[in-house]
Amino acid sequence: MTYGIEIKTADGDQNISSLFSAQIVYETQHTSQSGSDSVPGGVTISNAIGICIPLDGKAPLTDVDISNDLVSWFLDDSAFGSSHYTSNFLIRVYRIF
Amino acid sequence: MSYGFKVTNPNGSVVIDDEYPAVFLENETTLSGTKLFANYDTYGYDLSLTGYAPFFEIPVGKWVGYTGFTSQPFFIANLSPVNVRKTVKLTDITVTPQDYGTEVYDAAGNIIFTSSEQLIPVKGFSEDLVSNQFDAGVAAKWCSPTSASGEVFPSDVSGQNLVGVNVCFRLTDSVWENRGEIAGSTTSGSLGPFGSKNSAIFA
Repeated sequence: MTYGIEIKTADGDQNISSLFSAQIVYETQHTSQSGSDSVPGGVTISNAIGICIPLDGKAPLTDVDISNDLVSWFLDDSAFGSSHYTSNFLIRVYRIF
Repeated sequence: MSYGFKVTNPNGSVVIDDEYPAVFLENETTLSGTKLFANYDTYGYDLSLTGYAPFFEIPVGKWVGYTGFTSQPFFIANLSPVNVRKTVKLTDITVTPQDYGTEVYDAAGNIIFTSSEQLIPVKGFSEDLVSNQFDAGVAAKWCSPTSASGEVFPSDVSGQNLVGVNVCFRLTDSVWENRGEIAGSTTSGSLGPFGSKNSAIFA
Protein backbone atom coordinates (compact mmCIF):
# COMPACT_ATOMS: atom_id res chain seq x y z
CA MET A 1 0.00 0.00 0.00
CA THR A 2 1.16 3.54 -0.69
CA TYR A 3 -1.07 5.32 1.81
CA GLY A 4 -4.10 4.80 4.02
CA ILE A 5 -5.00 2.01 6.38
CA GLU A 6 -5.12 -1.71 5.72
CA ILE A 7 -7.03 -4.20 7.82
CA LYS A 8 -6.51 -7.91 8.11
CA THR A 9 -9.55 -9.63 6.63
CA ALA A 10 -10.63 -13.13 5.71
CA ASP A 11 -9.80 -12.06 2.14
CA GLY A 12 -6.27 -10.89 2.95
CA ASP A 13 -5.15 -7.40 3.93
CA GLN A 14 -7.51 -4.81 2.46
CA ASN A 15 -7.37 -1.05 2.32
CA ILE A 16 -10.12 0.82 4.12
CA SER A 17 -10.89 2.75 0.95
CA SER A 18 -12.46 -0.28 -0.72
CA LEU A 19 -13.70 -2.16 2.30
CA PHE A 20 -17.22 -2.74 3.53
CA SER A 21 -17.84 -4.49 6.81
CA ALA A 22 -20.87 -5.67 8.73
CA GLN A 23 -21.52 -4.40 12.21
CA ILE A 24 -24.12 -5.99 14.43
CA VAL A 25 -26.25 -3.13 15.68
CA TYR A 26 -29.07 -5.23 17.13
CA GLU A 27 -29.31 -8.73 18.54
CA THR A 28 -32.15 -9.77 20.81
CA GLN A 29 -33.76 -13.08 21.69
CA HIS A 30 -37.49 -13.37 21.05
CA THR A 31 -40.19 -15.99 21.45
CA SER A 32 -43.10 -14.28 19.72
CA GLN A 33 -43.38 -15.13 16.03
CA SER A 34 -44.38 -11.62 15.15
CA GLY A 35 -43.18 -8.32 16.46
CA SER A 36 -41.05 -5.30 15.90
CA ASP A 37 -38.41 -3.36 17.75
CA SER A 38 -36.48 -0.16 17.35
CA VAL A 39 -32.90 -0.50 16.12
CA PRO A 40 -30.00 1.89 16.73
CA GLY A 41 -27.25 2.78 14.32
CA GLY A 42 -29.27 4.62 11.70
CA VAL A 43 -30.41 1.53 9.80
CA THR A 44 -32.61 1.77 6.72
CA ILE A 45 -33.71 -0.65 4.03
CA SER A 46 -30.73 0.58 2.02
CA ASN A 47 -27.96 -0.16 4.47
CA ALA A 48 -28.84 -3.16 6.62
CA ILE A 49 -30.02 -6.75 6.63
CA GLY A 50 -32.07 -8.55 9.24
CA ILE A 51 -31.83 -12.26 9.89
CA CYS A 52 -33.54 -14.79 12.10
CA ILE A 53 -31.36 -17.36 13.86
CA PRO A 54 -33.47 -20.16 15.38
CA LEU A 55 -32.34 -21.46 18.75
CA ASP A 56 -34.74 -24.41 18.82
CA GLY A 57 -33.74 -26.21 15.64
CA LYS A 58 -36.84 -25.26 13.70
CA ALA A 59 -37.19 -23.31 10.47
CA PRO A 60 -36.55 -19.56 10.54
CA LEU A 61 -39.44 -17.14 10.31
CA THR A 62 -40.54 -16.20 6.84
CA ASP A 63 -40.17 -12.45 7.16
CA VAL A 64 -37.60 -10.15 8.70
CA ASP A 65 -37.90 -6.64 7.35
CA ILE A 66 -35.91 -3.48 7.88
CA SER A 67 -37.23 0.04 7.74
CA ASN A 68 -36.01 3.29 9.20
CA ASP A 69 -34.66 2.51 12.68
CA LEU A 70 -36.96 -0.50 12.91
CA VAL A 71 -36.81 -4.26 12.47
CA SER A 72 -39.99 -6.30 12.20
CA TRP A 73 -40.60 -10.01 11.88
CA PHE A 74 -43.58 -12.22 11.28
CA LEU A 75 -44.55 -15.66 10.05
CA ASP A 76 -46.56 -16.58 7.00
CA ASP A 77 -47.63 -20.07 8.04
CA SER A 78 -50.29 -20.47 5.40
CA ALA A 79 -48.66 -23.59 3.96
CA PHE A 80 -47.68 -25.21 7.22
CA GLY A 81 -48.66 -24.67 10.81
CA SER A 82 -46.75 -22.32 13.05
CA SER A 83 -45.24 -25.27 14.92
CA HIS A 84 -42.91 -25.92 11.98
CA TYR A 85 -41.24 -22.59 12.63
CA THR A 86 -39.06 -21.30 15.38
CA SER A 87 -40.52 -19.80 18.50
CA ASN A 88 -37.18 -19.19 20.19
CA PHE A 89 -34.82 -17.17 18.06
CA LEU A 90 -32.43 -14.31 17.72
CA ILE A 91 -33.25 -11.36 15.54
CA ARG A 92 -29.97 -9.87 14.36
CA VAL A 93 -29.46 -6.75 12.28
CA TYR A 94 -26.25 -6.21 10.33
CA ARG A 95 -25.45 -2.68 9.27
CA ILE A 96 -23.59 -2.90 5.97
CA PHE A 97 -23.38 0.64 4.64
CA MET B 1 -20.32 11.75 16.88
CA SER B 2 -18.77 14.28 19.20
CA TYR B 3 -16.02 12.01 20.43
CA GLY B 4 -14.81 8.43 20.13
CA PHE B 5 -13.58 6.50 17.12
CA LYS B 6 -15.04 5.90 13.69
CA VAL B 7 -13.51 4.84 10.38
CA THR B 8 -15.49 5.38 7.19
CA ASN B 9 -14.60 4.50 3.61
CA PRO B 10 -14.84 6.99 0.71
CA ASN B 11 -18.48 5.95 0.21
CA GLY B 12 -19.29 7.18 3.69
CA SER B 13 -19.90 3.69 5.01
CA VAL B 14 -18.77 2.85 8.50
CA VAL B 15 -16.06 0.19 8.55
CA ILE B 16 -15.12 0.40 12.22
CA ASP B 17 -16.59 2.38 15.08
CA ASP B 18 -16.62 2.25 18.85
CA GLU B 19 -20.32 1.46 19.25
CA TYR B 20 -21.12 -1.71 17.33
CA PRO B 21 -19.08 -4.90 17.01
CA ALA B 22 -17.90 -5.87 13.55
CA VAL B 23 -18.13 -9.43 12.26
CA PHE B 24 -14.97 -11.50 12.38
CA LEU B 25 -13.90 -14.95 11.21
CA GLU B 26 -13.61 -17.42 14.07
CA ASN B 27 -12.75 -20.56 12.11
CA GLU B 28 -13.20 -22.35 8.80
CA THR B 29 -13.91 -26.05 8.43
CA THR B 30 -14.67 -28.54 5.67
CA LEU B 31 -17.68 -30.76 6.23
CA SER B 32 -18.89 -33.88 4.46
CA GLY B 33 -22.63 -34.04 3.98
CA THR B 34 -25.03 -36.91 4.33
CA LYS B 35 -26.77 -37.75 1.06
CA LEU B 36 -30.46 -37.32 1.66
CA PHE B 37 -32.02 -38.88 -1.40
CA ALA B 38 -30.74 -41.67 -3.60
CA ASN B 39 -31.64 -39.98 -6.87
CA TYR B 40 -30.64 -36.41 -6.10
CA ASP B 41 -27.37 -34.70 -5.28
CA THR B 42 -28.74 -33.21 -2.13
CA TYR B 43 -26.75 -33.39 1.05
CA GLY B 44 -27.59 -32.53 4.61
CA TYR B 45 -25.45 -30.81 7.20
CA ASP B 46 -26.45 -30.92 10.81
CA LEU B 47 -24.90 -27.85 12.40
CA SER B 48 -25.52 -26.18 15.68
CA LEU B 49 -26.99 -22.76 15.03
CA THR B 50 -26.93 -21.50 18.55
CA GLY B 51 -26.01 -17.89 18.45
CA TYR B 52 -24.33 -17.60 15.09
CA ALA B 53 -24.95 -17.66 11.38
CA PRO B 54 -22.58 -19.93 9.40
CA PHE B 55 -21.35 -18.85 5.98
CA PHE B 56 -20.91 -21.41 3.21
CA GLU B 57 -18.50 -21.32 0.28
CA ILE B 58 -20.72 -21.73 -2.76
CA PRO B 59 -19.22 -22.56 -6.19
CA VAL B 60 -20.96 -21.49 -9.40
CA GLY B 61 -24.13 -23.49 -9.98
CA LYS B 62 -24.41 -24.55 -6.36
CA TRP B 63 -26.81 -23.58 -3.65
CA VAL B 64 -27.08 -23.92 0.09
CA GLY B 65 -30.32 -23.71 2.02
CA TYR B 66 -31.47 -23.80 5.58
CA THR B 67 -34.52 -25.73 6.62
CA GLY B 68 -36.53 -27.10 9.51
CA PHE B 69 -36.36 -30.51 7.83
CA THR B 70 -37.36 -33.20 10.34
CA SER B 71 -37.39 -30.47 12.97
CA GLN B 72 -33.60 -30.49 13.28
CA PRO B 73 -31.22 -27.59 12.75
CA PHE B 74 -30.30 -28.48 9.24
CA PHE B 75 -28.64 -27.13 6.15
CA ILE B 76 -29.01 -28.69 2.72
CA ALA B 77 -26.84 -28.22 -0.35
CA ASN B 78 -26.21 -29.69 -3.76
CA LEU B 79 -22.55 -30.22 -2.96
CA SER B 80 -20.36 -32.19 -0.63
CA PRO B 81 -18.00 -31.52 1.00
CA VAL B 82 -18.58 -27.88 1.75
CA ASN B 83 -16.42 -25.24 3.40
CA VAL B 84 -18.07 -23.41 6.25
CA ARG B 85 -17.01 -20.30 8.07
CA LYS B 86 -18.11 -19.53 11.57
CA THR B 87 -18.41 -15.80 12.05
CA VAL B 88 -18.68 -14.02 15.36
CA LYS B 89 -18.69 -10.62 16.90
CA LEU B 90 -15.82 -10.14 19.26
CA THR B 91 -18.06 -9.62 22.28
CA ASP B 92 -19.09 -13.29 21.94
CA ILE B 93 -15.57 -14.64 22.35
CA THR B 94 -12.60 -14.06 24.59
CA VAL B 95 -10.16 -11.64 23.00
CA THR B 96 -6.76 -11.30 24.58
CA PRO B 97 -5.36 -7.77 24.36
CA GLN B 98 -2.23 -7.63 22.23
CA ASP B 99 1.10 -5.94 22.85
CA TYR B 100 0.86 -4.17 19.51
CA GLY B 101 -1.66 -3.33 16.82
CA THR B 102 -5.06 -1.68 17.15
CA GLU B 103 -7.92 -2.45 19.46
CA VAL B 104 -11.20 -0.58 19.79
CA TYR B 105 -13.33 -0.74 22.91
CA ASP B 106 -16.99 0.18 23.31
CA ALA B 107 -18.27 2.27 26.20
CA ALA B 108 -18.75 -0.85 28.31
CA GLY B 109 -15.11 -1.82 27.93
CA ASN B 110 -15.68 -4.65 25.46
CA ILE B 111 -13.21 -5.11 22.62
CA ILE B 112 -15.27 -4.71 19.43
CA PHE B 113 -12.42 -4.45 16.94
CA THR B 114 -8.91 -5.85 16.92
CA SER B 115 -6.28 -5.88 14.22
CA SER B 116 -5.21 -9.35 15.34
CA GLU B 117 -8.35 -11.06 14.00
CA GLN B 118 -9.69 -11.38 10.46
CA LEU B 119 -12.57 -9.09 9.59
CA ILE B 120 -15.26 -10.45 7.25
CA PRO B 121 -15.64 -8.05 4.30
CA VAL B 122 -19.01 -7.61 2.62
CA LYS B 123 -19.02 -7.98 -1.16
CA GLY B 124 -22.63 -7.56 -2.16
CA PHE B 125 -25.93 -6.23 -0.98
CA SER B 126 -29.46 -6.13 -2.30
CA GLU B 127 -32.49 -4.33 -0.99
CA ASP B 128 -34.88 -6.61 -2.78
CA LEU B 129 -34.03 -10.15 -3.75
CA VAL B 130 -37.69 -10.86 -4.37
CA SER B 131 -37.36 -9.31 -7.78
CA ASN B 132 -33.65 -8.76 -8.24
CA GLN B 133 -30.50 -10.70 -8.64
CA PHE B 134 -27.37 -8.90 -7.62
CA ASP B 135 -23.79 -8.77 -8.69
CA ALA B 136 -21.56 -9.38 -5.72
CA GLY B 137 -18.26 -9.29 -7.61
CA VAL B 138 -16.19 -12.18 -8.82
CA ALA B 139 -14.33 -12.59 -5.55
CA ALA B 140 -17.43 -13.07 -3.47
CA LYS B 141 -18.37 -16.62 -2.70
CA TRP B 142 -19.52 -16.93 0.88
CA CYS B 143 -23.15 -16.67 1.85
CA SER B 144 -25.29 -17.57 4.81
CA PRO B 145 -28.75 -18.93 4.06
CA THR B 146 -29.95 -17.12 7.13
CA SER B 147 -29.35 -13.84 5.29
CA ALA B 148 -31.28 -14.84 2.18
CA SER B 149 -34.79 -15.76 3.04
CA GLY B 150 -37.00 -17.76 0.76
CA GLU B 151 -39.29 -20.71 1.13
CA VAL B 152 -39.78 -23.94 -0.75
CA PHE B 153 -43.18 -25.58 -0.56
CA PRO B 154 -43.54 -28.54 -0.35
CA SER B 155 -41.09 -31.10 -1.67
CA ASP B 156 -42.53 -34.35 -0.43
CA VAL B 157 -39.48 -36.41 -1.30
CA SER B 158 -39.63 -39.87 0.21
CA GLY B 159 -42.44 -38.69 2.39
CA GLN B 160 -40.45 -35.74 3.69
CA ASN B 161 -41.21 -32.09 3.42
CA LEU B 162 -38.61 -29.42 3.02
CA VAL B 163 -40.06 -26.63 5.04
CA GLY B 164 -39.06 -23.02 5.09
CA VAL B 165 -35.90 -23.39 3.08
CA ASN B 166 -33.76 -20.30 2.76
CA VAL B 167 -31.59 -20.51 -0.29
CA CYS B 168 -28.37 -18.86 -1.45
CA PHE B 169 -27.93 -19.73 -5.12
CA ARG B 170 -24.81 -18.76 -7.05
CA LEU B 171 -25.75 -18.47 -10.69
CA THR B 172 -22.48 -17.30 -12.22
CA ASP B 173 -19.11 -16.01 -11.07
CA SER B 174 -20.70 -12.79 -10.02
CA VAL B 175 -24.47 -13.16 -9.92
CA TRP B 176 -26.38 -14.49 -6.97
CA GLU B 177 -29.97 -14.84 -6.06
CA ASN B 178 -31.88 -16.39 -3.24
CA ARG B 179 -34.07 -18.69 -5.24
CA GLY B 180 -33.64 -21.51 -7.68
CA GLU B 181 -34.64 -25.04 -8.44
CA ILE B 182 -33.94 -27.34 -5.58
CA ALA B 183 -32.42 -30.55 -6.88
CA GLY B 184 -33.95 -32.71 -4.21
CA SER B 185 -37.37 -31.21 -4.27
CA THR B 186 -38.83 -33.18 -7.24
CA THR B 187 -41.28 -31.69 -9.67
CA SER B 188 -43.67 -30.86 -6.88
CA GLY B 189 -41.18 -28.46 -5.37
CA SER B 190 -42.01 -24.84 -5.92
CA LEU B 191 -40.84 -21.58 -4.57
CA GLY B 192 -43.18 -19.90 -2.20
CA PRO B 193 -43.34 -16.35 -0.98
CA PHE B 194 -40.13 -14.66 -0.06
CA GLY B 195 -39.70 -13.01 3.26
CA SER B 196 -36.62 -11.08 4.26
CA LYS B 197 -35.71 -9.08 1.20
CA ASN B 198 -32.41 -7.62 2.22
CA SER B 199 -29.48 -9.92 1.64
CA ALA B 200 -25.71 -9.70 1.64
CA ILE B 201 -22.84 -11.75 0.28
CA PHE B 202 -19.66 -11.86 2.29
CA ALA B 203 -16.09 -12.43 1.14
